[in-house]
Amino acid sequence: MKQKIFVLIVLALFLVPAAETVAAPKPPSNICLELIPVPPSAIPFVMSLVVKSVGAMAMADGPTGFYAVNGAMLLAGGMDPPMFHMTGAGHMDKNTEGLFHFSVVSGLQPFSGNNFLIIYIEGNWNVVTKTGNASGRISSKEQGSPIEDHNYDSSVLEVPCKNLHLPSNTP
Amino acid sequence: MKHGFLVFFILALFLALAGETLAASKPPAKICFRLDPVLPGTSPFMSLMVKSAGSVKMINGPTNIYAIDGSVFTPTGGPQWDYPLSGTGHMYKTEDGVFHFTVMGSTLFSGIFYTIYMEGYWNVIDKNGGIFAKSSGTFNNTTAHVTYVLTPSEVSCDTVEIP
Repeated sequence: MKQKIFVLIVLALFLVPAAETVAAPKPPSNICLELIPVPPSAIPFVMSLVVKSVGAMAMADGPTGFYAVNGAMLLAGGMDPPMFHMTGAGHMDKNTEGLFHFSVVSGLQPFSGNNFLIIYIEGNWNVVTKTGNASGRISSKEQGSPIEDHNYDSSVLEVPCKNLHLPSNTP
Repeated sequence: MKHGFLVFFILALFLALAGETLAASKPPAKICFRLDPVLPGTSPFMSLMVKSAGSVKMINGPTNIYAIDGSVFTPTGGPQWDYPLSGTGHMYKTEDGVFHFTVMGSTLFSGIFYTIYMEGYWNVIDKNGGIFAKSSGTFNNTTAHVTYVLTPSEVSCDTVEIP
């Protein structure tokens, strides 16, 4: 009897930390975020990101889960279709529980001329507290004009993926 | 007995139609192109591996998103480019057979570091498409941007090696 209790205690000791590890938050497989720009006159976006685990690597802070990020963003401003691809990567921050840190690039080069728009976004989304932010750079060129680079800062708001819409704060 | 044949016939018809729709709405797992023209006398090849990343609901309805990894390389004789690409593509359910994609890469070539962006489409049914590319190269702290309109033509991925 004593032996059985001992085995149970040992088993429980193993299982509790294991359960804690398993319970570590992971990013959802589909995150939909609306970027609320600062200042509000900048372009608002809605992003729908598909997140897939690609493995873990030992980084300076220990084993870190890495994710491939693919998706699309909807851009206010009357483009048709108002959709850009996004490609990037993300990882779960080891120091802040639930913090998904990602970096994506999006580009569009319309066939109408040598104009283009390239958007780099680095963002944080805490899957536990549901808060985040994003910043980036937008490089754009219109026909006959020089390239313009603009910094981009925003807060982030989660929106339902099942009813994706153009940014609600469309100017 | 006749009823049985009728049900079987209708079922087969539905399945055939569904099969065609499904077959038409997916990009192939590998797409290989020759790109014309980029530089005089040079037509590089582009090999893309396409993997489903999932489906998202966009304003035009459910949209399949694909992860893309691949490379660009040139035949012998011209400037030797060989660099990896990564990107994303999608197929609208409302636009049958058209695969839209954006890929990006970078390479050090003749002492100049280039970044390359390509946005294109490929109709997997009609076997035609178009690609718009932008290349940026920095030399002596000055960045030059060049844009290209490319015409992709499909080549067999089995024989994509230098012709």
